[in-house]
Amino acid sequence: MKTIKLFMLVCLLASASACELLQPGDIINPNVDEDTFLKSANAMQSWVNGTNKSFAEAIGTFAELTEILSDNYFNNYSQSSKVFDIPEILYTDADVTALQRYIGTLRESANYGIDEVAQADPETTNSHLFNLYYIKGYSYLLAGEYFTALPVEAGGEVKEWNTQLTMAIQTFRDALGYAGNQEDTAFINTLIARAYHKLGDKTNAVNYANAALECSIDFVKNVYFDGEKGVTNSIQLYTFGFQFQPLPRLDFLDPKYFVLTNLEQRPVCIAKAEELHLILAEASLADNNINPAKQQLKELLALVASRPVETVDDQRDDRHNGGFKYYPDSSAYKVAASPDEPFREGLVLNRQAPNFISIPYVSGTSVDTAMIDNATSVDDLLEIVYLMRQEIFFAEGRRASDLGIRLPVCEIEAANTSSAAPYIDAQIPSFIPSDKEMDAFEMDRDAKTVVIRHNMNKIIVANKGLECVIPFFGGSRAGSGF
Amino acid sequence: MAAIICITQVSLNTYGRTGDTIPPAGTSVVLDEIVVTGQGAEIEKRRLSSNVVSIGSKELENYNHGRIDQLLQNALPNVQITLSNGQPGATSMFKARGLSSAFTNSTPVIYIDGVRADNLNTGAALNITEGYYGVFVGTTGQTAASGAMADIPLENIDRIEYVSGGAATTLYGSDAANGVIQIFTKKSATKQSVFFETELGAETANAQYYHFKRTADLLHQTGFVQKYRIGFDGGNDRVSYSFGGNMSGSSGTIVQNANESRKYDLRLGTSVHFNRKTEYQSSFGVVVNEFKRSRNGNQGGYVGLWVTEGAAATNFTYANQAGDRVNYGANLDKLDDYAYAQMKTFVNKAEKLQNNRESVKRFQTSQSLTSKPVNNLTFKGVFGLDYRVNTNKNIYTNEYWDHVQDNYAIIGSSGSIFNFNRNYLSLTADINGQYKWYSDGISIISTAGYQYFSVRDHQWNSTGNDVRDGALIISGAATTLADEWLSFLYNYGAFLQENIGIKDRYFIDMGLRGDYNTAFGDNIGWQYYPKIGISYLLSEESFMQSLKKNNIINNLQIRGNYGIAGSYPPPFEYQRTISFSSYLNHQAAAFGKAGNPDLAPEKKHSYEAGFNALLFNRVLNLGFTLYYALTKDALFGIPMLPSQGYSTSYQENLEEAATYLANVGEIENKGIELSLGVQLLKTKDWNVQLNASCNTNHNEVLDIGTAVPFSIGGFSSGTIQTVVAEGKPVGFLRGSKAVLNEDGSVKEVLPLQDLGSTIPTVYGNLSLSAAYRNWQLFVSGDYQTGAYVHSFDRQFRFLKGLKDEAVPEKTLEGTTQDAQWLNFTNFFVEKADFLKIRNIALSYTVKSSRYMKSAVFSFGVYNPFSFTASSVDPEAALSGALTQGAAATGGFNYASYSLPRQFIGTIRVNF
Repeated sequence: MKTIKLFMLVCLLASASACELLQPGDIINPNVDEDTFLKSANAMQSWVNGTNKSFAEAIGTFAELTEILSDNYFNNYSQSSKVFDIPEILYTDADVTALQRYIGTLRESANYGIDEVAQADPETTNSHLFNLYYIKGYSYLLAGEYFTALPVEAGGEVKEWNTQLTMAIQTFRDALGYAGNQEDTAFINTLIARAYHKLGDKTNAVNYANAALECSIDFVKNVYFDGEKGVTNSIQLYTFGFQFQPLPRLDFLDPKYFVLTNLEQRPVCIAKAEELHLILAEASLADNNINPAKQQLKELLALVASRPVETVDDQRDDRHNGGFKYYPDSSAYKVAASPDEPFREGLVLNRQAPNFISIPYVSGTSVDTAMIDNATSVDDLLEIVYLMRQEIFFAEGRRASDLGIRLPVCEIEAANTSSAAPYIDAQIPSFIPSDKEMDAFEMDRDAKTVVIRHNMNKIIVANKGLECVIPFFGGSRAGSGF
Repeated sequence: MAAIICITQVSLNTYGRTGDTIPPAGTSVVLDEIVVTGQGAEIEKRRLSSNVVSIGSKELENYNHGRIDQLLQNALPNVQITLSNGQPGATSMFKARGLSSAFTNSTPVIYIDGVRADNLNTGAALNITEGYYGVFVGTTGQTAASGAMADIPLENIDRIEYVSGGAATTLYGSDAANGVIQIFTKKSATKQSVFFETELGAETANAQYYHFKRTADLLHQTGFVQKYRIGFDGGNDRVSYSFGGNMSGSSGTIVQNANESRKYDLRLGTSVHFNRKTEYQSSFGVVVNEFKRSRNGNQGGYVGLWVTEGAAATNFTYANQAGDRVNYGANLDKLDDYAYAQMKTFVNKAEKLQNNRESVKRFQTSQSLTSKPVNNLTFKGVFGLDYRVNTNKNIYTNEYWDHVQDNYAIIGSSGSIFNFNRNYLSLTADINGQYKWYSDGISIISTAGYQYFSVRDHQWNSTGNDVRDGALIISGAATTLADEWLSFLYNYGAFLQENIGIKDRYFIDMGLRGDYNTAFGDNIGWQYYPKIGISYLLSEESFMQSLKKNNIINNLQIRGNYGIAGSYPPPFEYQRTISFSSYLNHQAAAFGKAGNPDLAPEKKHSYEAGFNALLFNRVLNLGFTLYYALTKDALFGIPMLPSQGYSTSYQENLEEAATYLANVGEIENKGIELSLGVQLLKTKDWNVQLNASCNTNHNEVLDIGTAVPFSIGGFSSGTIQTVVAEGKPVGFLRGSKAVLNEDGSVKEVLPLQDLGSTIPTVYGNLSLSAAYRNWQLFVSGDYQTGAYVHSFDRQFRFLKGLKDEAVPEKTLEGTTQDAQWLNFTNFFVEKADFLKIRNIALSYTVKSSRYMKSAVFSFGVYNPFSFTASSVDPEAALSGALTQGAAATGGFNYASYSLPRQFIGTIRVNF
């Protein structure tokens, strides 16, 4: 009996370690925490790439939402914003929040890279810092072009748009210190010229525009997407599909972002040499110098003509969706920019089978030398400048800013700071027609004519004395400092 | 619900005996009935301060047996259960005493023989809501989602207990603010028996809500429904067993069998008495569920119901007789015969070319050992698991894209396959002891226990792009993508309960649970949940005996309690992380979760008082409860400030972007619960009973802390959303409202207006059971008032130019419908009052003969009648929950199929 007891005891002891098998393992977060990341190798490379991804998505979404805010595109579908076409911009609108969130993300991501990751990762290079600084600067630029006011730091008080532009300029100057080549310098100088242009600071805008042209006369800076990894250009989805339809006089430029192979995501341009000529031409007109302005525009025409064109199969875009709004779908259509203007040909393409279309995917314009030569007044030329801005920057998310539209501080941010109270209403200039009239047109299918309700270029030229449009004519609005 | 096989077998019990009284559902007047759920161990109902609903197998046989939520739809008197959609596997919505959380889904926790089961009732994190152009889209709430409720094992059930969240679930700690459903399966039998059952029938679409007469003809077919069951049990005093199994299938009601489904469900229970003091029980269940899903909701492109009822047919073209391509008109009923024939061909092929299959394999087991070493002392240990494997495969072919006239796809290289896998494993270990002490009219039942459970939810998906038509797997795709997601937690809890009885009529019920969960933040330690309650059997008082003797009062129990139940946050939400993705062939880092070290469970503080009475010679059975519940520390996803820089991709849901969880809210629920059972007739030949319930609820968000009003469902704020805001019920409908002048013209349009609550203020069930000799008739249904539903299909028709009676002509002077459609959202929100008859079943029982014990022949109709205040089915809605496990309240009718009507004949033979 004693032996049996001893045997049982030995068996029991031998099995005691079984408890270990019954103990649950530790719960470990399958995701990477912040400390682990900062201590890992090449953290900066990963961070910069992530910030670039956010930048690309931000640019695509800004383009998507602000293009329908303008006369360029009409949302003929049930997805994406249904109210920006009106235009109705509420500070409670999730789309306003999303755009503002992108700006915060770009700035904070860049700051985190510059302040934290750069300290932790010895492999940080000038190229990384250049990249982060220009994204940070671009976040201020977007805030300055598109919002009435926004915070410039996490949870901070809001600053008006002109302060944002001033900060953009300062940050871009920081970026210049890390520029690696002439193209980088041209790119940053162009952004600085663009910010000064919006501020109405003609002298600095011209200086930086000329400085950029000295570095490169034809540079193009894009953001890129990654269709294979699901990083999509959101405006491409809506414009290559049937959802967004272009104003008929811009039909020949659509779709700027096309799909030649499955999963292809086309890049979006954030800066190109064309803008420098447009700034210089506007500056000349502001000084009442018509001929130099004409010369700039002709140089610009030559540059546009040198840009590539792609042959695209767009046969499935039937220029109709939704059953209530048809768009012209044949080159037989002539288009008048407003009821008082003559019809122009060649603005609408034949895209149905068997036709393929030719799309200038960097820059395209309907303006020709004759139009420039025939213009006699500052206003005529100014209208051509803004028509070219509209066509050259088409689908790049620039037009609504040229129309003087600004978004408010969103509800979530406004709830956090009393400084936002004066800025919770959007700025929609009184000359902007409501009820989707910017996108309105009459189409006569028998006569093959289209008459657009409003020529917004004519309207903004008529209002050029206002602060919100055509900056070089609206007086100085230099940054208020901070 | 095409996957549902309607059980119309209405024999009064499993063994074919007739004549027993069916106890009214959900009343607890059977005072000596033993219940377990919420008590740690077995205890008599008379001692409890809270209501435990117990439904036996006999009663359950009356209801639809397709899935647990449908089974319980009319069986739980104080719970409203609606299936969100008629597609197989679709999620459902539970509303019991309102909604106690604006963050966590309201589905009760489900235990099977003491083992926690997967109760996911929303889409899964990585499941495929939509995949197009190579882009995977996860759960959005904007389509029919599938969860785990459709495949909870249902064979061989002995009884189901339900307790609502609050004091009754305090002993479940951080896991049971929404209540507990516990399923007990059969494990033994006193004598040998065998049964076979065959159900055959048809199901048709519920077309009563369709605006166009032709919609049903375009989209629907009559489905063939079949189900076969077998069961046997037997044994002796020491060893016994019980087995039940079934297989079922339906071809579904959508053309081209686009909703076909199959299901297999087996359960074996055994019981072994080692000796007089020790019993071992085991239970094994296996479920296989497979179904197809048709495009629906806001999937865009071709969606059958959107194309028809939403007038999106106008988005598509056909070649007219002259050979020109023209668009279909918005009004289907006005299409000429040629155009209609073209459309029919188009729709038929579009449904045929869809290939979205979901599959579930589920294994569940419970092992328990009960020992009674000495009198009045019982120990019980339970161990078990629920393992559920869910796959979803969604195949888009070039032929499909071409057919549906997609003008984005590059035909030839746009074939894609999306795969989703989810492995769920939950382990439960529970040990408890109970000691009963009796002396001189005082009885004390002490229960103490320890419970552990773990939940591991592992998901991954893979996408193959540019695959050849005909390929069913992603092997060979030009590009492939994958993603992975893991959620993992442990919960430990210990509890103590004292139930003190005096003179067998005064009872004090006290309990305390301490809980630790690995999802709590670093600053949060053990959480404690107390409860205290009383039960008073007034009918046992001496002064009541004359009433009792005269059968005026048979039983009268008064009860009241206070208790706290919790709801734990999702794992890992408390940790600050960096997120990673792939971009241009490199790793891309970004801010991940912001984290919150103070993340704690929501705590529902619940007060209730009420009575149960059996009156007038057991003719009237009455239950009444007054409840008040206040959820403190309610979890809200607080939006990060945009300036803080946390952002997810715009393509993901905007409203869910960049939030952190915090315990900042307070939500109030109050109301009454009334249940009634009347024995209308009871003679030798007749037995007629009527049961009904009526529940009220006032739901209000008292505090949202620092959050701003936020959406928990729907679309962008310019359209329609369900929203959480202070002073409003959880998930009220918010959209634009056109305010009219006296002459009917538009005075102003106000954005972001409260257009009505999605939570009913009054709801309940009713059932009638009538037996005459060998015949039995059973009818059941449910109703609600006080909630609202938005019809997006109607609003889309308005957008497309069709007139709508709700919109005054005057409002459109000088403008157009498409210009105003989103300003007029209030005209498209309707009262969601309904009365729905779910079951009508008639059966005839042939009593024992030489060869068998009995045979039952029955015929039943499921979903025969719906009476609704709205023009649309208020139940047929989008799944709602924006993310896995999120709260959902319904309220959006958008290209959603109603539950079909089923006509089923059944033969059952008992040996």
